[in-house]
Amino acid sequence: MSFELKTIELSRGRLSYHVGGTGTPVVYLHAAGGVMLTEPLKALTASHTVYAPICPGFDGTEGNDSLKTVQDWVAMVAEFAEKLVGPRFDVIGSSFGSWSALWLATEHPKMVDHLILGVPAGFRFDGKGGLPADPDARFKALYAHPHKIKSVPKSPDVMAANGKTYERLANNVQVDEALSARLPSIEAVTLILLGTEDKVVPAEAGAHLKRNIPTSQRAFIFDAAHSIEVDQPERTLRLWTDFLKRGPGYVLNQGPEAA
Amino acid sequence: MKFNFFHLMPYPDYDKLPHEWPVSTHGIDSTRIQALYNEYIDEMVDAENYGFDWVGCNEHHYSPYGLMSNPNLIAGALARQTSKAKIAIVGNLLPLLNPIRVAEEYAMIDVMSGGRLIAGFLRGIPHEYIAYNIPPSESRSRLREATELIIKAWTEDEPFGWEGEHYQFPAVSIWPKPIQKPHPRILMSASNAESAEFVAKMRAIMGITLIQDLKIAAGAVDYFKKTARSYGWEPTPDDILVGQQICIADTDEEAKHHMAAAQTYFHQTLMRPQRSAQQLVLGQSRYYTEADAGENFQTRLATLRGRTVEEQIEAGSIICGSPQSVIKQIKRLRQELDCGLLNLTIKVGNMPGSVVRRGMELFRDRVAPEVAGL
Repeated sequence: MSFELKTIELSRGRLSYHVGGTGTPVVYLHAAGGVMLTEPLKALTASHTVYAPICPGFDGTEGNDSLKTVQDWVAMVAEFAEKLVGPRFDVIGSSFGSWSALWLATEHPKMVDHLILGVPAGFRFDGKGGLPADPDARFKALYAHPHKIKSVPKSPDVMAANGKTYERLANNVQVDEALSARLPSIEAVTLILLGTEDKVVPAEAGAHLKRNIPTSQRAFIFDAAHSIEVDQPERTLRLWTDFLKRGPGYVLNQGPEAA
Repeated sequence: MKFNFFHLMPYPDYDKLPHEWPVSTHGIDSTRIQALYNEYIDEMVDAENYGFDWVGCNEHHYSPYGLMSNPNLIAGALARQTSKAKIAIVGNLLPLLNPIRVAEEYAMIDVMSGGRLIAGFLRGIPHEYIAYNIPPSESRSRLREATELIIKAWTEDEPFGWEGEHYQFPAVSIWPKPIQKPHPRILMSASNAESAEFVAKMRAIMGITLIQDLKIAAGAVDYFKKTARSYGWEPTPDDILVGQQICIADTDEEAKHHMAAAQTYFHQTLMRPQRSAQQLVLGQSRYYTEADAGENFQTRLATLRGRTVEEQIEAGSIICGSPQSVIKQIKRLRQELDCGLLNLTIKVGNMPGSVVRRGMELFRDRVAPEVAGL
C-alpha cells in the first residue's frame, strides 16, 4: 500500500506527514536522515494506519525556528496526534525518532500504547557510538547490506538540511540525562530493537533502556547495522507486527495455534 | 608453548570392519564403555600433573570413533576433578545444537572450573549433519549466527531477544554468566580462507589439524594473521593451535610400531564407516564451497591415510618417536607454524592404555621440560 504526503497546520506551524494503510494507528518517528519509507514500513500499512510526520526542516520541508529541542519537536507530534491520529496509538521510532518517541511516552503517557524503539539515539555513554564524519565510514556504519536499499537517495542539499536540523535539536547531547531520569515513569509496553552490527548505537544504550523502562523487552536483529529496517526488513517487520499485536506476550511461541 | 591432552575417547575393541554409518551397537557391552569412561577420564585428570596445560575433548555421534556425543558431560567431571588445567572443549558442534543450551552449559563449566574453560565452536565433519538432521549447506551460516548469539548470551546482563536467520529466541538471560570476562576464550577451526575470515573477526584461537604439508599449513597461518590484522589485531603464538596425533616411547622404533598399529585401527575401523556417509553429504549438499573444496577434512585425511608413519613424521603431520625425536619435532612445528598451542592426541585408535601412560610419563619427565619454555 502506498503512502500519501500531506500537510496540516498546527499551533507551532505547518507539519508535513506521510500517511498510508488502514487499521490500528501507528505513529512512526523518523531518524536523523529523515523519513525512509522502508519495506517494513510499507508492509505495516497492510494492518495499520501509519502516520510518519516530518520534523520541519527535514526532507526539504520548511524549517521551524521555534523547534529548538527534541521536546519541542515532540510537543508538535503530540498536537499532530491529538488532531489527526486519536487519543491512543502505537509508536515506532528509528534512532533519533526513538529518542523522540521516548520523550513522547514520558510527556504524554496516556497517548502511547505500544512503544517500539529502533536503534535508539540519545544514550551515547562514554562517548561510544555515533556516526563517523567520513562519508564512506558513515555509509558503512548505517548499512551492513547496502544492496538492500530500495529508496531513492536524497539530494545532498536535503541531506545537509536534515543534518543541520538534527544538530540543532540534538544540541550535541551525548546522554540525555533528563530523559534518562524519567525512563522509570514510562507506562507503555516497550520493545527495544538493536542491530548486532550496529556501531552507531552502542549495546549499552539498549541495556540502559531495558534496565530502566518498567515493562520493556529488547531484541537483537542479527546481521543488521544501524539501519535495521533496510538490512533486515523481514526480521524487523516480524518483530514489529508480533509486538504490536501481542505486546509482551510476543515471547510465547504459539506454534500452529497462532494461525 | 602450551599443550592440550586431547582425548577422542575411541572405542578400542571393535572386532569387525564396520560397513555403514550410523554404526550398529549390536553386541556392544555398555558396561565395557563404563570402564572406558573411567579409564579415559582418569588419564585426562592425571594429565594436568604430567606437564599438560589443557585437557580436551570433543563431540562425535553414532560410531566407535568417539564416545562423547556430549563432551560437556565429560568436562563437568573434569571441572571437579582437576584444579589447574584449562578445560578445552574442541568443541561443541554449534550448527547441530541449540546455541542457548551451549551457552548455558559452557558457562556452567566455566563457573564450576573456576574460569578454566576454552570454548571450542566447531562446524564438525560432514556426516554429523545426518545425525541431527540439519541441512549441511547451512553449516557455515549456522556456525556464524550461533557464535554471535552465544557471545551475546554470555556478555549481556540484561535479558534480550534474538531475531536471526536460523535462531529466534525472544527472551534470553542465561544463569550463571561465565567467570572469565568478557567471556571464555573461543577456539575455532581455520583450515581454509573462508573460516579464517570469521575466526579472525571473532578474535578466536585458530585451530588447524590433519596437516598434510607444513608449507600449506604455514600458508593458512599466514592468511589468518593477515586477516586478523585487517580486523585490527595481531595474533600471537597463543592464538594458534595445531592438532597432532602423538606417540612417545622409549625408542623411535617402539613409538613408530605403536603408532602404525593404532593408525591401522583408526583408519580401517574407526574412520571406515563414516566415509560413505561423508560422500553422501559432499555429493548432495553444499557443505564445502568451491573455495575450500580442495583443502578439506576428507582430502587431508585421505592423504595421511596413504602415508607411512615415517612419511607423516617427515611431513609434519604427526609427532612420533623417542623423547629426543619428539622434542625436535615440536620445535620444528613451533618454528614453521609459529604456534604456541599443541593439541595432542595420545590415545590414537586402539593404542594400549599402557603405551598412553608411558607416553605421558615421558612427556612429563623428558619432553615438557625442554619445550614448555619455547
